Amino acid sequence: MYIVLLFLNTLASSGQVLINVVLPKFLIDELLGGRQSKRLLLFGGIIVLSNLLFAWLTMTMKRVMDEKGIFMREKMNHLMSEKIMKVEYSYLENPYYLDLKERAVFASNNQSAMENLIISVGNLLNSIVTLIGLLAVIFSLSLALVLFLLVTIIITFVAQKKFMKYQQNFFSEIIPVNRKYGYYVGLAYNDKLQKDIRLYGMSPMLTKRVRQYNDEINVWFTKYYTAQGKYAGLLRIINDLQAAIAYGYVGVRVITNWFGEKIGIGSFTMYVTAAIKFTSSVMALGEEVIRITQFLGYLQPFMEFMDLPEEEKVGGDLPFQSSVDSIRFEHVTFQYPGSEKQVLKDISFEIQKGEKISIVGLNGAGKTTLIKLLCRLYRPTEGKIYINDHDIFEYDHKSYMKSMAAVFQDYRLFAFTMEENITCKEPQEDTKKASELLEKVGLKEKVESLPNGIHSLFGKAYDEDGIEMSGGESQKVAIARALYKEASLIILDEPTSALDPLAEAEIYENFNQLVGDKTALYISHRMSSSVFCDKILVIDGGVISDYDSHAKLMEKQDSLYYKLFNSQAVNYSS
Amino acid sequence: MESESKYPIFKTIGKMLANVKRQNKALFAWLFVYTIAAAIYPFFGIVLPKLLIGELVLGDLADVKTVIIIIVGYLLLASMVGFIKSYTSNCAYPRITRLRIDYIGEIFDKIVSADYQFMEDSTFFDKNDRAMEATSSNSNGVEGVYHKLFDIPAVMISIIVLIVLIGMINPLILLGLLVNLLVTIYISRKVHKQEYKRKEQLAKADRKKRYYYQTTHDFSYGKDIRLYGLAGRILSNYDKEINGYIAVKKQIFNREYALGFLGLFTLLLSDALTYGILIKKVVDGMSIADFSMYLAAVVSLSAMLKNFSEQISYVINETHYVYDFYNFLDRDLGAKGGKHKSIKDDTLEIEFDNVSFKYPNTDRYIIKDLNFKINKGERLAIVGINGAGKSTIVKLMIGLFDVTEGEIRINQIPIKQFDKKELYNMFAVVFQDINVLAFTVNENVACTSEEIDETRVIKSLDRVGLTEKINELPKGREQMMLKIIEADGTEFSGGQSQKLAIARALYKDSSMVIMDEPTAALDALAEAEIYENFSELVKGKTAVYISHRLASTKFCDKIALFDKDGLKEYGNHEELMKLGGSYSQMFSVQGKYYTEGRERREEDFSAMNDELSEVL
Repeated sequence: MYIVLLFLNTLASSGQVLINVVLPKFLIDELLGGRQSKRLLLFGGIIVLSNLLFAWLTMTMKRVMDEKGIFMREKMNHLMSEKIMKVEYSYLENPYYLDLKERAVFASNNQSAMENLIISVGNLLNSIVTLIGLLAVIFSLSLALVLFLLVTIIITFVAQKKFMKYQQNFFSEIIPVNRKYGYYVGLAYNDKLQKDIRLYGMSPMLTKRVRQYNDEINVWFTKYYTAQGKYAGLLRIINDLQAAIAYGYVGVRVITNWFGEKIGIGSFTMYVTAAIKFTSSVMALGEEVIRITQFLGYLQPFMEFMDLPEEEKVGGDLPFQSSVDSIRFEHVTFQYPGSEKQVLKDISFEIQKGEKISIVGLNGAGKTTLIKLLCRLYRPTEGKIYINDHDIFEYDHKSYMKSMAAVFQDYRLFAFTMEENITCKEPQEDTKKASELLEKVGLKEKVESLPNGIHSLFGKAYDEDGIEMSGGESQKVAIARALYKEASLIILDEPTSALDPLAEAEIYENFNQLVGDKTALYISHRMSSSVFCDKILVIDGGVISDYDSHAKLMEKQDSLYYKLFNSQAVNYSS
Repeated sequence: MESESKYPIFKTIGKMLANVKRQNKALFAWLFVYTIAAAIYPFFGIVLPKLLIGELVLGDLADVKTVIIIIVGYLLLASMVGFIKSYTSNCAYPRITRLRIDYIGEIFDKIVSADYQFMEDSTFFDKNDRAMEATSSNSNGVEGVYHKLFDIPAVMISIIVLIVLIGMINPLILLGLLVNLLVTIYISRKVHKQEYKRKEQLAKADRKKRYYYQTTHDFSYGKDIRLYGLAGRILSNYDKEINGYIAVKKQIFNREYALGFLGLFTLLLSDALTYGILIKKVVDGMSIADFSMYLAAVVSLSAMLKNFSEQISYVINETHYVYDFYNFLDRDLGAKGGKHKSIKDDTLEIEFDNVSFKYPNTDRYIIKDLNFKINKGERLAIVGINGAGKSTIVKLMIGLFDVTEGEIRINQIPIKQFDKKELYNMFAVVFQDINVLAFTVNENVACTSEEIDETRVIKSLDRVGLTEKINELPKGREQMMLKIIEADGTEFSGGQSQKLAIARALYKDSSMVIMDEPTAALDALAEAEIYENFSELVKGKTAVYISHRLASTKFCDKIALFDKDGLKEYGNHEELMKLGGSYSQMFSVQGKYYTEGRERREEDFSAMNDELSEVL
């Protein structure tokens, strides 16, 4: 619809320019000649009305673009959202793609790249049509004038190109400075830092650094703007030169026949206006071309992100139907994309249906990575993971995801109702199962105290009336969510870190009951929790150092497990 | 156009000018030169056609030489003035930017020196949003207004000259322009009001839309979205919110569009008047040269008036932010305290005397009638469930917050009598959130850039066992930390950062040491190491260790157990175990699987649950 409008607008505004070039000639000739009031009224009237028409078109175009602009921006964001949610997960933890996303989003939100691209294309069309009309007018007078003007235009473009190069260099150098400056200024707004700033008297150190950057940035900008001032001044001079050429040449044509037949005052006005409009239209054309390439450049990261492979299209199409009967890691080695370090080295182990396994190790040993591999969030660098004797990547993505539930360390809840957060489905009429789970994880009282009970909206980000919960309470909801999901494998990565000891003990003691006959994997720094498990998988520096029951492991007094367990146990021995 | 609230605009602008006077007087000289050049420049384009046509209409009597003189004269003058105009405006630009970034420095200093209580007041940053916004970019607030103030005088002079010029020929043309201008202003006010009226509705729609935007664009939601198959739902909800937002916007746009027709009408009126009158004048004998000039003058004036009215309304709107900004700078956010200096060469004794506390602007008491005493050289463990107010007690003890009722005394001196900075000096606190900054290792430990006592840094790092790690770094203690500033910056693991924080506390060497939940995210061995470091850190000093884990009680002399109702039990481990209260119960719950059975004891679950509900 608005492509048509854009086109109409192009035609009309070109027409308006031409009317404003040609009509005054007739008006002036009439004023100098016959002065017939009827014709004066007609010419004056057309000029006024064409201005009016153009004003209306501009206004209408603005109305359309205002709405379309927002729509387009939101649509781009929506597309991006969809892509982020569907892209292979491994990209989401890679800093390069985080940066790519930031750049893509910056283009659509701050630069309104799509919107501006369309406007620029419209303007480009406009300039081209206008130029053709103006050229026709000027050619009827002289080719020489066009050439004169073209020379000045070329000078302008050369100057512009040179300055743009300077500008690009400048910005590529100033961006890192600006980013650093942003970091230091941002420290004042970092709420976690405020206690340290005061207790350790850091404010002089911080303020000094900010002021240093102030000086540095000022030096940069002064240099840049001095250069820009000279450039802008030069453009002005060329501009005035163009006007002088147009006025001079056409003026001489009026009073002499050196370059051809004499022309009238009316034509003088027309040609001068045409010549000046011509230079400005060529400049506009050049600028639009630059802008279009610029916006296409801005959209590049967006396109790159959109091209990333989607998860659902990765992997086979074997539907995962039954329950998880066995899990087997075979010589699995893993390093994060772009990293040299092997997080897991040649890992092999097996888990049988219904077993409760605790994964234990120091910070950074690779526990969470192992779980991400199992959830197909990453692909092993070497080796394979089998579930029910099939490589997990043979399964169809959707049905595979249905087979497991997990509570991650950095679990997230959504601004849905409490019930929806647990069910992850459209609101149900029957909330019994969700309520039961809330009771089991110890949130019964909390839910009952809420104004809308289980239908209360979670979080204030979406709606001011949403409810807030403490870290411990949200963690319990996340656990309930995992339990609700009818998955035969359940994974819990430090699910109780935000809970106080009593709540923690409560959750752990109920786990086996809550989890029932599902296969379960736990990660926890509280060594006491592993006592409940059938087997303990001890990871040390990316390799499995032990895989056995608590009782057996405690017999090996030189094992990491023994050390870990005792380092905590010693505090409780009375 | 912010008709909703009034503020002293001229006073604010006066203050801004005074600031220029103080910071950079030379700007006034730039302004002077620019104004003259910029005020003259538009008239070249207006006068040139008049002079030229005046000569040209002479027909055969016209002299080519005169034409050339006019053109060359124009070219020389116009390009000179034009160059000066562009050049001075660009030279002034970074000088104006400088005014803003200096204000950023000031606001930064203001915040990092403000009393701590503001930092935990979630409304503080919201309430001062406008003030902070005022220095956020080149094109708004302080800098935006400065730029406009720089431009306005020249435009004003040009306008006055043009008004006189056109007024001399026929004031009706001016009237037409004026009506058109007034209607344009009226429309933009109306639109603004309309927007204001729908502000809440719009903000609500925007917030909902933004929630989905942020949730989806935040990669950390990625795992849960995939695992719980939420993509479909989120996308359809997002779509709905987008449409809702656009619908509200549409109403505003439609109104603006409808009002635009009124503007078209006055444009028609003004144009018709201009052309009608000028044509009439020519018919009555005015020269074509004058006709061209006046036409050009009217077109210029109309554009300038529009520009001018936009500048003025911009200044009125944005200066409001500047006003808020100045108010913020003038506000006393300083920490209030007495004059007492730090206690040196002695460790501390701290006494809570009937202390009650609620956070500013809240009604709920976090602490009620608390009495207890930490003796000199004593190590106290504060334990209890989340939400029992453990961290709050620390904040009161070190003076980050002032008590609501009662009194805290340090070595018998009421805490209020201490100067806040002196008070902070007496405590070395390791908080749960470890903040490593993008400064060098030296600076991170010493917390200053000047007069760093290097031997003390070395000693502190050594005592927490970081020497080896530091020696591995290419630049040693001069190595920049974090990657954000320098690509070769070093990043520490959680445990190492924790040690760095302890080194910081060691360097500070204060009279008293406090650790607030430092081990929550650490593995068992790192945790054990922290406990060792703690003993090292507190040798001969009064110390407090806060944790929701009971393990810390092992190496402390006294234990204070808090629950929702406040201090519940106080004494040493043996005493509390003997007491058989909450502490002993919690201790056995937590330690149960470490100490007694090292096997699964499912049969105990029901019994355990009974125990738990009693404790809770």
